[in-house]
Amino acid sequence: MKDTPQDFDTVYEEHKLLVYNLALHYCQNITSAEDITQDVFVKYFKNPEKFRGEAQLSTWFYRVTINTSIDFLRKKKRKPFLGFLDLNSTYEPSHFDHPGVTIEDQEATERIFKAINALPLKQRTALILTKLEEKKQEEVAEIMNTTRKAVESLVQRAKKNIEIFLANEGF
Amino acid sequence: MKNTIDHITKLNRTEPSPFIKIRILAALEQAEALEKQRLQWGVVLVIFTLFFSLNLVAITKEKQSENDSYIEYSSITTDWYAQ
Repeated sequence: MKDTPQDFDTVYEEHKLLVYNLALHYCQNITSAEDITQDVFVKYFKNPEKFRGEAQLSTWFYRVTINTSIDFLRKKKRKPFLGFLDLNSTYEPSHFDHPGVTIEDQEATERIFKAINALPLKQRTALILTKLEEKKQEEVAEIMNTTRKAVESLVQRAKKNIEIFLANEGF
Repeated sequence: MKNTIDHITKLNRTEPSPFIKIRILAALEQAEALEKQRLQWGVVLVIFTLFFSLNLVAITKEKQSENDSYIEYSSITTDWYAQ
């Protein structure tokens, strides 16, 4: 480990909520979110000097958490026999376990997350960052390395797709 | 419909388990140990490759000098056969 323990504590305490909750939005499962959190911090502390040049460390943590979560979802996606033929398969958490959801909201939230999980990855990321992380579109654009207009369009399309998904599911 | 999407923004931020910190530190230590091991194997591989190449050069040189010491007799034989 190249960082001093104090550095580890500071960086970890400042970013643990960001990383863990963002991972939770992607996988909706405590165990998986913990694994992603571990991966992200290990990536950082294995080579901390590599990221000193980032404009904002939090932006780096957002990007790496998003990429690590996407990698995790790809690995976890169920692959049945001849699974490569199933192009529309979506990630479904083995057990919906989002600690930020109260018991009475569980069912409705699970339904929405099912719709979010069916979105294309860019739309999903834009929606999670703007709606769940409550980030400004400019900040989301910086994290996603795109323009504010593109983020706006992604969020609009994501909302429309969620409506269609829920309507098809009969909600 | 709109209520359900708005509903989702009311998620509470939650703290990860305190054990995560211990897990990260353990994973980092493991990664460091693995890197050291890889480095050791790398050094062993380099030494072996060097030794092997030097040996190969020495064998080639030896063969070359052995070949050089032979007298070329094929032409003599052919000459004798022709007579």
